[in-house]
Amino acid sequence: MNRKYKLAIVTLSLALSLFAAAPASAQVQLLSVQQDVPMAATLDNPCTVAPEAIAFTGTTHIDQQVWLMPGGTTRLVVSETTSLSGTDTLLGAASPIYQVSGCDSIDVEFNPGAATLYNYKQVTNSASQDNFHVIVQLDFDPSSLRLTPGLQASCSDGTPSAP
Amino acid sequence: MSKQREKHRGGLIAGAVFAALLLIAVTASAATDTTQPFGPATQPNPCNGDSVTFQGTERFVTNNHVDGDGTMHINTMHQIKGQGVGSPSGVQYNVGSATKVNGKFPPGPVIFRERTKVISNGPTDNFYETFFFRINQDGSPGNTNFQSDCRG
Repeated sequence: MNRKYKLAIVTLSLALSLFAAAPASAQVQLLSVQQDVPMAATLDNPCTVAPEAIAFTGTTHIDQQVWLMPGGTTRLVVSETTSLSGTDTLLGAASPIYQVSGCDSIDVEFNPGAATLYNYKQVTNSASQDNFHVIVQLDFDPSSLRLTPGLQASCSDGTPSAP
Repeated sequence: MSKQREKHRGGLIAGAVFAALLLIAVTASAATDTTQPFGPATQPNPCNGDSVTFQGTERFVTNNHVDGDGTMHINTMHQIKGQGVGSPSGVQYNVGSATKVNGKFPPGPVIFRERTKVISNGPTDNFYETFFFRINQDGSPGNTNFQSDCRG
């Protein structure tokens, strides 16, 4: 047999044996990233009748890992910390200070595709207290594997209600 | 019964069947609050070789729904609480965990991992337990599996 072919066969056999030696249950890390995203949104408190225009600013820190699982599913491991503060621009200097601070983490496995996580965080203010929450919405893009955060207002803490 | 009344009745039944089919096609809801026993389930304490047989309760509160295209909207609270006795140590271990998840996922089952510390009530080492709790593709809670580890 030609020496070149012998070498090719040996190389191919070695590659195949290495491939076979890899554990079938291995998960492959596709992304590991940390990012600080500046956040800004003007929100109404949906728990009150009066309109507000609360201009929140702050930062969302995202620590994210994406894995390809043996069955072809996506595993998303996320730790998110958000800190926001703001005032009601309709009240000007008379506005109380609204604050949001909290962290959430999730480890979830799903079929490949777009996904969205909703993390509810209590809003406190220096004047009164109600069930006003900010939802930090994290949109997962399956092509870039990145999360994009956004903000929404809610008058619920997101806990499922029993039937 | 007059022909007109019969026709009207037939129309109502057809309307109800159509509405029911439409509801099934657009969304399948599964609002539940279920508490069930778990165990006995034996898990190793990989930190010291103890073998711990757990028993306890598992609670699922779900308000999930599935769109007509299969997209999963998951709003679930999962709580697990249990205790067990290690062998051969005879020491009691306690474990408890609660997770709230809220999200939208592609069609298919969704699995959440929840890692928590198992506390030893004696001189033996603590260890960690990961609960794999599953939401089936129809939005209902599925089986929960366990895996222990010793990573601090």
